Amino acid sequence: MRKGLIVSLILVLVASLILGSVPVSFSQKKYKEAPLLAELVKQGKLPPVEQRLPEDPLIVGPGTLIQKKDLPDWKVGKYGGTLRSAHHSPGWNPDFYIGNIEPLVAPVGEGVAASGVKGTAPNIVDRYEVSRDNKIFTFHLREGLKWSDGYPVTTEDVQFAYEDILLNDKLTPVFPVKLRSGYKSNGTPMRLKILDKYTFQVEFSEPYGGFLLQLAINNWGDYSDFLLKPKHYLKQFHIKYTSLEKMKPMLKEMNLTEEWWQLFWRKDITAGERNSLDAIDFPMLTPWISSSSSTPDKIMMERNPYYFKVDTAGNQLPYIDKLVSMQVQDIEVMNMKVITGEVDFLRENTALAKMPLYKANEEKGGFKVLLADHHLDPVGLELNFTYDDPIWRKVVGDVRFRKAINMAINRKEIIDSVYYGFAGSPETAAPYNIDMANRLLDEMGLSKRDKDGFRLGPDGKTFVIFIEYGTFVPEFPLVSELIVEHLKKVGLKVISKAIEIGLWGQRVSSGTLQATIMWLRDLGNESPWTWNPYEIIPLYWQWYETGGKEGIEPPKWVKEGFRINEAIWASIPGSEAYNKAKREKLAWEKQYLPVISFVGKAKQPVIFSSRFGNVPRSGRDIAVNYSIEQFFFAK
Amino acid sequence: MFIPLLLILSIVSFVIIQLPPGDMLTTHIMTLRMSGAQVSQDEIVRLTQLYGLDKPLYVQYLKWVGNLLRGNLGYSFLWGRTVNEILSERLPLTVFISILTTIFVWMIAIPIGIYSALHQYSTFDYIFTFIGFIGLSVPGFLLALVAMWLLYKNFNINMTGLFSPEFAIAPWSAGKVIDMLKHVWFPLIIIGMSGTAGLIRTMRANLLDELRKQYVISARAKGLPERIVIFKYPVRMAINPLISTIGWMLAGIVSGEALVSIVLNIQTVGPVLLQATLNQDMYLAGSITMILSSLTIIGTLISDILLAWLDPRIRFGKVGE
Repeated sequence: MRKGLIVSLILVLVASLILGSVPVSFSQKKYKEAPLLAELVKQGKLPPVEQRLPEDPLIVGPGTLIQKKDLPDWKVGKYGGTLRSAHHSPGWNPDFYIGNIEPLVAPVGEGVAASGVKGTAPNIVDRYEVSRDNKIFTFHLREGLKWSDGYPVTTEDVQFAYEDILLNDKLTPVFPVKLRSGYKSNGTPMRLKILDKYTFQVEFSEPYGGFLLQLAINNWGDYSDFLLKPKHYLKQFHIKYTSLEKMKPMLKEMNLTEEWWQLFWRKDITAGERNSLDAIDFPMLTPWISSSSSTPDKIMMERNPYYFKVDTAGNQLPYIDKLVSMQVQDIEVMNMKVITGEVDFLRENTALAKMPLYKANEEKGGFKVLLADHHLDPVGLELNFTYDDPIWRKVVGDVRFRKAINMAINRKEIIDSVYYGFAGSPETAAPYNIDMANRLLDEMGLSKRDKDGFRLGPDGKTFVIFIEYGTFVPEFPLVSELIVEHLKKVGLKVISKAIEIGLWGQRVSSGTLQATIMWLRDLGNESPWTWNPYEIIPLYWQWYETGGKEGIEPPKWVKEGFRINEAIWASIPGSEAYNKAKREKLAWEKQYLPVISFVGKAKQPVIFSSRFGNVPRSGRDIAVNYSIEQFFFAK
Repeated sequence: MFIPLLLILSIVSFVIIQLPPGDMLTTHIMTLRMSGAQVSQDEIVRLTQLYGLDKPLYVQYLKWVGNLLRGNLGYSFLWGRTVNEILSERLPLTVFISILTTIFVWMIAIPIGIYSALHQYSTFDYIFTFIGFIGLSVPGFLLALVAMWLLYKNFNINMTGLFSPEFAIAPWSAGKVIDMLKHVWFPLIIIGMSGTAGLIRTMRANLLDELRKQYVISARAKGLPERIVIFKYPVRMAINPLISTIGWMLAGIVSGEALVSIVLNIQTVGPVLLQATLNQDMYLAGSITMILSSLTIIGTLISDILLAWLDPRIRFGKVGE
């Protein structure tokens, strides 16, 4: 008996040692959390940080979010503080939107479309594989990853997104082109295979390596747009899981009298809607989530206790506790807020023209302004190749015409007078040469002139380029005035006119614009098209999309462009095939000038509080914005 | 008369918002595009259905009017919430500021107007006239911008909004009210400036007209004290045109001074209306237009009643007919 007692005592001792060692092994990981959250853990309102983080959190260190050359002095930050910002449109803060983007796979590298995203890296998924023929993509979710309400993220959420949303014809009237083979609107839709609790496969019928690019950056989207939806939350608004009777009170409350799918759409929050009222309580994977007291004019976001990134010292990110943005009804007042130091971070709504104002008040307002690289070519000319006029089509379809314009644009004058010298020539620019431009135009048969010295078209009437542009960028009117003068020097008559943006959008989509001024090569639309094909070749594009049934058959060089386009989307970003196709595209672009870019490498001011740490010294404005979770208040 | 007028108003409000090219959705797509996001065709189809824009115009109109009758002003696409919510949040502040401004304007303008009329071509009359014309000719928003800049430059005071940053996101409390009172004088003066100037001129001109009339002379001849001569008769007459402006003042009180509010960043109804119109947020813009027009009609009615009550000639005139 006695012996037995001793044995059982020993057993108890051993057991207690083993049990006791469990918390020890947890604490060995030594994750740390914000004091705000530690307090909630103490009160029993939140589980400890080890249980909130996935098994393998994404570790952020030097070079993870911002390249080392742009941020050489990356530091482990301090917790706390509120980041103040301002926004113009109700419920829409572009800087918070970009700052909270969490794609399934993250883009690596910086570069605009021409130089290319250098590849992709794991973000929400911790690993992924692509089959050799670029058709099958296998993703593995971080095990133990949790939604912002603590519910685990599993492939059930992926299955829900696919079967109950994408395959439901009420919720998805048209299957998204992003998820079709080869990024073609007539490509076969993706198919999903669930392998286990954390692994899923996406399959296409044609090579579509660019799918990774779509997930990473295209359209500034993230996980929430298509493939990963919080099933446990959204099913209460889905007819398959909840009866219409149960939804009726909600429909009524939200002033929707129609159908359940309207309620679902409102409740399903995608990346661009995170500051809307419906986003409150919506489970997210972002660094900050909508606070319950947020309104469209006072946007408030608080930290997500389940965010999956930690720094090299094991501190759960983000460092900053809260984001707050006040609606400002006038852009000038936004500048007032900047110079008085009422804004800690501002990217989208700054303007190069305000640099002197920013600089003069930097010290007084307690902020710093960084001249970052703009993520797009800020201004260029687009000619509608299929505008309904045979003379027009003949003239602009002649590459000599486009080359002449490319040579006649005095880029230096535009850069100096509109961009204060903070810009450069785009890759497709030709040296300024009036004589050569004149010779090209004479050669192509536009040698006769009217009494004012303007060139006559093939029909004997003065040839006019009628440019209509939207009023959304303050630089456009200035640039358009300049190019009217530039092209006058080579005898081209240009009339330019600003039109209201709604009208502009309508004219673009109906193909009734002759020419317009627009920005080009947007990194977020890492599209092989350096322009929007609806704007510039609507009928050729229609021909391509319908497989030749509608529209007009394009000339050979446009078909060549389509081919390069397909090659780029088929390949994996960063791969040899991808880089080769990209180089091909640049050469093609220089040869045929589908668009005439005036200015490249422009700068965009980004405002930071001077109390911030981990602020990059250089790089792209948008990359800076993406890394907002590692900012911290150093002072 | 009232109901058919409202019906016509509702049609006009709705149609005016539909007149510009495109709709709320095209504007929304353009906004996204300006931020660099392209909206794909599939997304456009989805949004069109969500907002019910695929239905014919008359169906959209009938739905809106039907809801209006039940006190439901519709849903704002731009704000992502109901119009009722937006207005109930902003109306109290708007009405508060407008009434305060009106009192401010009347308190200053009427005495000055009377003084100017009684002391026509005196030094002070010239001074007031000079200031008045500046107030009339300089637009309020410009005045606001310049004043804001001067305050910042010289006193380092930032007047962007009704609240200090620390109170802006806090819920209502005694501290917040005090904070607001500290800021409210600024928009009050700016908005009041042009109103005051206009009113001084009207008051002065009206009173001058009255002072030359024979009943004033006979009152004086009968030996009435000067104070009673002026205040009992001509001033009362001169105020009549002011009373008749109540008709549109009521709508003004609700909408607030839009441009100045935008510049000074005050959360009133005016800026919401402007933004809703620009974005073709049809239910929000339509409902506010509807409310403002109804208030103008009601206001006209009130001013008619007030005039009849104040001025016996109007009452007796009617009986005489």
